[in-house]
Amino acid sequence: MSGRIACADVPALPLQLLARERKGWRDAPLVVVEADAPEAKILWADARARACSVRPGMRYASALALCRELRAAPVAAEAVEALRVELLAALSARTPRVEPDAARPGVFWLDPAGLVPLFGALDAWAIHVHDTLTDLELTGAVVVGFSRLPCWAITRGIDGVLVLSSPEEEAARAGRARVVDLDLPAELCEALLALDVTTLAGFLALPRGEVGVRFGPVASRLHAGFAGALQVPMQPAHLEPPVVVEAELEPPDDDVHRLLFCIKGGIHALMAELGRRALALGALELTLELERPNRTPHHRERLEPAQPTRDALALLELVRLRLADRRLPARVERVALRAEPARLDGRQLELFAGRRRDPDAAARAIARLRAAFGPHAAARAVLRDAWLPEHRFAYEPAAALEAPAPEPREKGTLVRRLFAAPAPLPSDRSGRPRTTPPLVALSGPYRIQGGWWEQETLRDYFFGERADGALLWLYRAPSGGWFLHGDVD
Amino acid sequence: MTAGRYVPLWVKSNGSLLEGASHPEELVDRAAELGLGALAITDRDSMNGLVRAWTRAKERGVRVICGAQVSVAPPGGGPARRVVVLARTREGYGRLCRALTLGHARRPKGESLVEVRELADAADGNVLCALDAESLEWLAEPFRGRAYALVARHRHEGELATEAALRASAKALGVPLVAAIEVLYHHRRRRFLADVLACVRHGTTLDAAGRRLRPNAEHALPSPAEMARRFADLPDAVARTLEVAERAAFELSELRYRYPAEHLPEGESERSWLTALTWQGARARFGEDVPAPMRRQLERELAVIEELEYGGYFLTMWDIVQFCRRHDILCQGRGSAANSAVCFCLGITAIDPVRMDLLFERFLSRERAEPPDIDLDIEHDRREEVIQYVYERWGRRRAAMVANVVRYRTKSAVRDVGKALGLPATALDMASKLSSGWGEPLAPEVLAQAGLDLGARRVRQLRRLVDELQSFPRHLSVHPGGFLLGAEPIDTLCPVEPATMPGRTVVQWDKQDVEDLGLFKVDLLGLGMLTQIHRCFELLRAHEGVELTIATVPAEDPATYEMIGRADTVGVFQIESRAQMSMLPRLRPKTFYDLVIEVAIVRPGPIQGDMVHPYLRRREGVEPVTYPHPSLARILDKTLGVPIFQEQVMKLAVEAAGYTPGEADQLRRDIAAWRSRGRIDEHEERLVGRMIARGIPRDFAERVFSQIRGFGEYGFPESHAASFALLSYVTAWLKCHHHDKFTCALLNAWPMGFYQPSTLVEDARRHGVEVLPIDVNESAWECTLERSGGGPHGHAVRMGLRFVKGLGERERARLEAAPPPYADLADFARRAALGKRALEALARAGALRRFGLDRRDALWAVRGLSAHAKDALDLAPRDAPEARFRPLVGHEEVSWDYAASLHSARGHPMARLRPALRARGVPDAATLNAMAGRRRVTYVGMVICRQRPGTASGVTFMTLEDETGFVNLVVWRDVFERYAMVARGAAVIEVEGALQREHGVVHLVAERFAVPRLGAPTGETPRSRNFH
Repeated sequence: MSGRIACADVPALPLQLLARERKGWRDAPLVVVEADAPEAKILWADARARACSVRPGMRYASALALCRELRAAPVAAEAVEALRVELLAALSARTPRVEPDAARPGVFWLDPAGLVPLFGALDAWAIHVHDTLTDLELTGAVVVGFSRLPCWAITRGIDGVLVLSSPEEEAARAGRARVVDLDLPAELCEALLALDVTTLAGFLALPRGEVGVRFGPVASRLHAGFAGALQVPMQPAHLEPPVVVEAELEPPDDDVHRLLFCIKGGIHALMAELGRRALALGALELTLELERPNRTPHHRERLEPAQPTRDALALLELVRLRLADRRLPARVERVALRAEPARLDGRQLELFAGRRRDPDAAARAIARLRAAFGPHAAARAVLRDAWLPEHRFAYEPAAALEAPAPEPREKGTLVRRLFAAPAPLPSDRSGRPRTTPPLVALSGPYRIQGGWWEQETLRDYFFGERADGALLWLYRAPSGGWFLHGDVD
Repeated sequence: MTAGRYVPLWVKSNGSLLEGASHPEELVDRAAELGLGALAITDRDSMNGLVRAWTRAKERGVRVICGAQVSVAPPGGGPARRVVVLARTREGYGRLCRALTLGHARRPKGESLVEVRELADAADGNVLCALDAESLEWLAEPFRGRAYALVARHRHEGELATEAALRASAKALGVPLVAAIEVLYHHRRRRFLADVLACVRHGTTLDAAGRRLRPNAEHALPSPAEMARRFADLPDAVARTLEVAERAAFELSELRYRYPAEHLPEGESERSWLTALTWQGARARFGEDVPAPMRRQLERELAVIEELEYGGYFLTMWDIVQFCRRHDILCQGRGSAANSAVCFCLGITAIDPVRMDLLFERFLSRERAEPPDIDLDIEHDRREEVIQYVYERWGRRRAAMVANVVRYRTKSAVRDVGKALGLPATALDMASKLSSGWGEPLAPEVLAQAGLDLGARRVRQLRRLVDELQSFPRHLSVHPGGFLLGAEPIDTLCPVEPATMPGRTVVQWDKQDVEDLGLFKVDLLGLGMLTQIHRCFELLRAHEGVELTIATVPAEDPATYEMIGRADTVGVFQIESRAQMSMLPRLRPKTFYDLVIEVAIVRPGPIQGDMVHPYLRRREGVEPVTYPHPSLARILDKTLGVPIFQEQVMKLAVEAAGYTPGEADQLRRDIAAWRSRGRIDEHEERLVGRMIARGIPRDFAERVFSQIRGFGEYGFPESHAASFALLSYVTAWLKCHHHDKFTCALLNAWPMGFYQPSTLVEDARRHGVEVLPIDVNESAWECTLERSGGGPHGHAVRMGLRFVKGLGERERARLEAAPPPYADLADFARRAALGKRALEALARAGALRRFGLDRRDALWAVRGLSAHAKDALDLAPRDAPEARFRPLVGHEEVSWDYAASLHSARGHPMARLRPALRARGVPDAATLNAMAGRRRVTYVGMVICRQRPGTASGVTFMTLEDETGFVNLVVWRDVFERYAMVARGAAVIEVEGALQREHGVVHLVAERFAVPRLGAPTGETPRSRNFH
């Protein structure tokens, strides 16, 4: 059925995303704002909010004056994009050719070509497409027509599914679409309404050249698009499907060495397939299906090499490190390897590299550590602005090393070394801390008291000099107990 | 010296904006509780909290040492250093203020950075307390013999190195040590608030603030014992605080303010010149034979003025008024100045106090010996000229504006505290909008409604901290017109900061501070109504050849009073509000003094004191005129035994409650400081108790006190009411006799007054004034008068281009540079050279109709023209395909008018609904207002006003309008809440209720609201005036 195109439209996608996430707000007027700030602009408003005269483009504070019950939150662009990817993947199950609209986040173009034999009729296919939206807790419409924008314009006026029988029907139905439903640029929409142009047919009745003169090239392009004058061929999104290799173990086995041998073969197969696609491996998901009956039917591991790779042996080494200390609760019946493809990072080799720091080697080492001990095994300390000593730095996962850049230190400066955790110290009858050798002097207290908005902490810190000359850093808690928190050298 | 005694030398109040976490009064009270005889107030780069501390200290017997924490710029650059400077002498204090002024001048608003040499110049007469070794080294020499090394300990290990270096430096320089805590709050429990303030100041949250917060809670005002403990190794440094306090001997009471000597004519003294001008003015007002009572009054006043040496002040006001006269700027004194015959004769005020029997002592008295307060109202659009004249005449250093301290209210506190706590900004915004105004605690239901979890720790903290933050200063802005003028530079009296507005400078003290110190100030206030009156006089001169001034408007005109009695007062100064209009038919003013009472009676004071109805009943003769005590007859005689004016309740306090002049004066101050919580309430027991003891009924005594409390909200002294009543009368007379000019002038002075242009236009039309629509070939920027073909008025009002939304001063300049007539649209577009938006605005307003284009066609055409705007000469597109649009029909024209220009000269939006409403039996406003009371009525009208006065116990008053007039609604709280969505938001509203008619006043008591279903869109309607 050549010349057909379908449009799946999920209107106000960010708003639907917000409604899906905040189910407690189901009965309240809802808007999406550009930021969590009173002066933030409203980007999307649901029907309840619009009934209170709240409109996109208003400031949240102004909208609140109109509608005291209004609920608002920003929706991150990443979250919208993630939902679009989710939708794209789901719609791709209905047709191999799906194109997300570049400008409208909830609009997808679908090619129904060749699917009638599979579904019996276009209606049936379109219903399946619509079901896909419903399954994702989204509402929208699906129209099967002949050209893009007219088709989309029709989705704005219907619920559910519509299959158009002819281009003439499409033009007639699209012409009845309301200008306010077409997500036109606000200025164009407002100008058209002022001119009493309320439908798409009215808009299309204006001379296109004059539209361009008065409202600019965007309006002119939209005019052409809605008139069906711009026939852009489908540009389906290309999803890189993961590469999966599976193998059955007969009899089931739990010996790591033998499992590694089995996995080795799978990794080579994965690499071959990735090589064929000119891709590399970004991450490997290893699934070991365990012999039943067993409480945990699977054992999963995820490994990330230092950078996308096609080095099977290096990857196998990471698998070995990860599995080395794993105790499997049952024998493995089946092994599945799932490679997440990634582009190879093309870098020029350095011919005359001398003996310098090798960041790649460091990255490889870190990858091995992460493989062996988990993704949090490698971390680096970063400074934080806080009073409490343990809050003045934090560890964050590190996947690579940066060259150190220590701040210059004055000669003779003492260094305070902080213990990983404060160690309790006994105290004598007078309440002074006891150490071995004993303390001969205490200087303080230096009080740190804060965090009251979460949980208040109060400590009186002291510097203590031990009889052997060691300088200790200790504190007294409100309970009277003493803790050694560091030393000074 | 007693061991353990000390004086806190480094104390910052909340005058250190967003840093200090206690009111100055709290610090003084705490110092008194701790037995401290003195404390220094050393706000950050300012004297903000000084006066309030000093005022409280006088009551508590504590001495306040004047000083400041000064931010100093290191000579070689780097972060600013802090030093504490305390004033020893008046001259030293002046130098410190000057240094801070220089520091503020070079930094953005709210910051200061003083250079070392500037502080060195200020050394004489001051004591230095250096906080670090470097500052001590820079400044020890200039402050030789008066420099101290201030050792500050807050149990923070970072202070160890600073102290060691400071002590070493002090030893090397031979500078003694002195001990102090950097006090930020009077009590440790305020630490939380201090942290929140730090977050607000740094624009961060508590979670992210890190070391921008203080490390602990060691900044409370310490007791002597705590101080001794903290500095156990330095007892001499603690003891030395007393020595420093003794040396820092300057007292704020030493500020002897000398008013600037005027430029006196050769051979004249201040006294002789004032006397000459006064008698000259008297002869101008009364002729050569000045009436004896006036003569006696002038002689008495001149004697008092001379005795108190306030002659210069009167000459100054005369000088400003003369400037206004020379430059044809209408001005008039208001407030208690109207009690003065000298002010009247100098032309400062327009009320004859002798004829009005006004009390001069209310303005100026030997006993009070307090500077008089003269407020001058000036045409609002020309006030800036007067302000710049004052700067020019007195010089930049001798004139500065008084500050207006913007303080936290619940609404702003919720936002700032919540933000610091990291709560969602959108929820805070909602909570802020839902919470009520000043001083009321944050209601939990408000937070719940905003979606905040009341059980959450941070939300609980929010409630507590918002309460604590109430009335804390947030930032300084500029008082609308208060000026401090000096014979010597103002910056030696108080630090002066540049204001945000270019060309303005502002002192760090507000009106209350200035009054508490007994300093002179002049208030130059903008008043829109003077602009309107002036313009109206000009129109009368131009179109009727009639010369009028405020003084020559015919007095006591019966037709004017008849109009006022009908409450036909839209646009009339002070008596146009809904509440005033409801009162007018009952009070029916017949004389000027009636109008004075009318102006004063609809105020929170008399209303809260429940004095309004007794007065009306007595006036109507249904209640006898009696006095609660024979001694009060003299005070209450003029107002039928009911106190209405502020001075009457003051006199009651003296006569009936035996207040001493001092107590009465304090009462007056406490009323003036109406937003300082609790100050008026302190008088209740004393005042009511003493009145009862003198045989005055408890009921009356309590009502008098309620009235005093009400005056705290807003109340008028008689003289002030008289000044305003004069303007009310003048505007009413103009409306009554020259409605066309009145409307034209009012529209040109807008925005001002109570009503939107649409209501003013409709009111004019109902009075037979022809109003012509905006037309680029006929309209000027402002509204103009054109000869009218018929009707009761000689002229029609042509609406001006200024009412077209989207046109501003730039467009005005272009239009006036290329005046009409224009041959066609292309000619207009080319000559006026307006932008696309301006052309579209004119098309939408129907101002291009002259060129044969309906508004939609005009819109299409101007869009096409503006695309060719940069073409040379010929703008008309050739061979462009035609596009035709549906012309607007009648009601659409009106709707577009409202959207484009806030009014319509073509009709009222309700008129098109009339047939449908008539078919349903819904009356118009005129019909409804003529109906008998006690019947149920359904009415549909356009909302022009919603008000919920604080004195009305939650009752909302709404005014609806249609093409025939107004309908007044009374909405009880429960009805309003039940129909909140409609009642609060709908522009056109259907209301059902019971009609009440009483003393000629008609109200519809609402029972049900609805959005009218009339089968036609209501279209664009004007904005209502809501909850002002």
